[in-house]
Amino acid sequence: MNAHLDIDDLLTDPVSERARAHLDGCAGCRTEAARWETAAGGVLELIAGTPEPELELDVVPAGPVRGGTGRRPRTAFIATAAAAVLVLGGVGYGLSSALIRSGPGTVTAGLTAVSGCAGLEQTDGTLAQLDGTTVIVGASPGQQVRAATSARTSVNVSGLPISDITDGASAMVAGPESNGTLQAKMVILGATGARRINTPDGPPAQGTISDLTGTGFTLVEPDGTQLAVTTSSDTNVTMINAGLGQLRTGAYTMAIGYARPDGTLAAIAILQPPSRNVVFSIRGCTPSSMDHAFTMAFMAAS
Amino acid sequence: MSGPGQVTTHGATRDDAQRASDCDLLRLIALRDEGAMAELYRRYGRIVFGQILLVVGERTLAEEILQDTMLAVWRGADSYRGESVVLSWVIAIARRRTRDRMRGRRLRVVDETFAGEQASPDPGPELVALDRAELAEVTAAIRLLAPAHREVLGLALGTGLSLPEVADVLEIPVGTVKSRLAAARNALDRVLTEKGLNR
Repeated sequence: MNAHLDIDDLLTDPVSERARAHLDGCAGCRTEAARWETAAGGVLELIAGTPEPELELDVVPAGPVRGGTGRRPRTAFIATAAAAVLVLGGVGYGLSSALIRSGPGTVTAGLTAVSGCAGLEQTDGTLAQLDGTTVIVGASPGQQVRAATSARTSVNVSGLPISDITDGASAMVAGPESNGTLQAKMVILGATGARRINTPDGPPAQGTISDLTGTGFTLVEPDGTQLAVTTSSDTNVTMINAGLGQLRTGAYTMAIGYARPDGTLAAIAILQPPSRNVVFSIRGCTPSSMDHAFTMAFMAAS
Repeated sequence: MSGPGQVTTHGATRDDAQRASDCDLLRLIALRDEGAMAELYRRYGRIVFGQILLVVGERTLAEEILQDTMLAVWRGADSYRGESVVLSWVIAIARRRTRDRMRGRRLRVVDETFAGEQASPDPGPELVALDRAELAEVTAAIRLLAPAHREVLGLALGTGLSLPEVADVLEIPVGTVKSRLAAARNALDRVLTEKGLNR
């Protein structure tokens, strides 16, 4: 059997024993395979390397809590026919927005629908207890909701101690700048990629923390610029993708997820924001889209 | 790559268990299970989006077609008969949605001019440019190919579908898939040479 390998032989994974034996003795087929490999590399770079659809985020500054239905989806088509699609990771981006509201009065019977994200519910109140991986949140004992977390649950915590800042962490820092030194009002650890944001002190600086001391650190920006940052007891430290152990019992907490038949919540996000009166406007109803929205809302609140 | 001279596809790896699981997901989606829909998207959303984008070349349009596709999956999951693997079923929907969107535009998803091109049983011609091209040059050249060439390369090399599954998606015989693939790769080499992308 001297027939050369055809495309089918070369594209089958794994290559058959027959094909492997042929390749060992056929330089032409090895060259042919290498060419397909080159072409496949280019295709895979374009397909598998395609970045996630860019999230278009809008920040609704802190202020009066919005009620009602929130923003209208961009098209009636989506609103009437594709509500469930809005819950997909990334599919709903840019095609709808959702409002997550915090503050008094947003909890009704424990859970409230998140406007714009079909099936998504929220609850808020005091973090009463951490029971393993379950977070118990509620305005009062009668309204407490058990929110089960998983490895995919996004946990964002504000009000962390300065000591949670570590060398090598990526961070976004906002605050007034004086004589080349940034006086940090807000440090968001783990924040990346949030753009189009402004704070009362101008756009936040982004980079990697180094040379950490008790009174500040150096922020190394992507272009290599080194920015001196000072911290104080007034600096609010927030962590995106924090650990459950960093949640503070007794602090105001929001839980967002899908209601289970037993009344518990399968949480996709747990949040301890810096302020009760914050509205998070997200596009996309996924943990990652929420991370971005939270980052921007936190900054706006700084 | 698992060894020298081997060409493998690096898209979704699917074994029997996962195929069954995919089918289960569609059954749940037919029952309006949003979590199942999310899981299906988690598994294949990027591949389907990448394939659409590869063909249409416009990100915004690709996003809209992806949305159309997933909505069609949500609405039509109960029409899945298990006659093809789930990924090829979804990609076939994406292809039809792409065709609908592109109707009236110059782009043709299927170009019949390739029907006459036959794959040689011998090792290919001296594809010198392809032999020495770097990855960035290859990706740039792929973007310059005809849509039908980009489509077949994407399906065969980027999604993990087998050639019979690609044929199923394209609704053409396997032999035509092979000849179209060979034509696409030859065109890739020509573009690399003509555009001087590898010099």
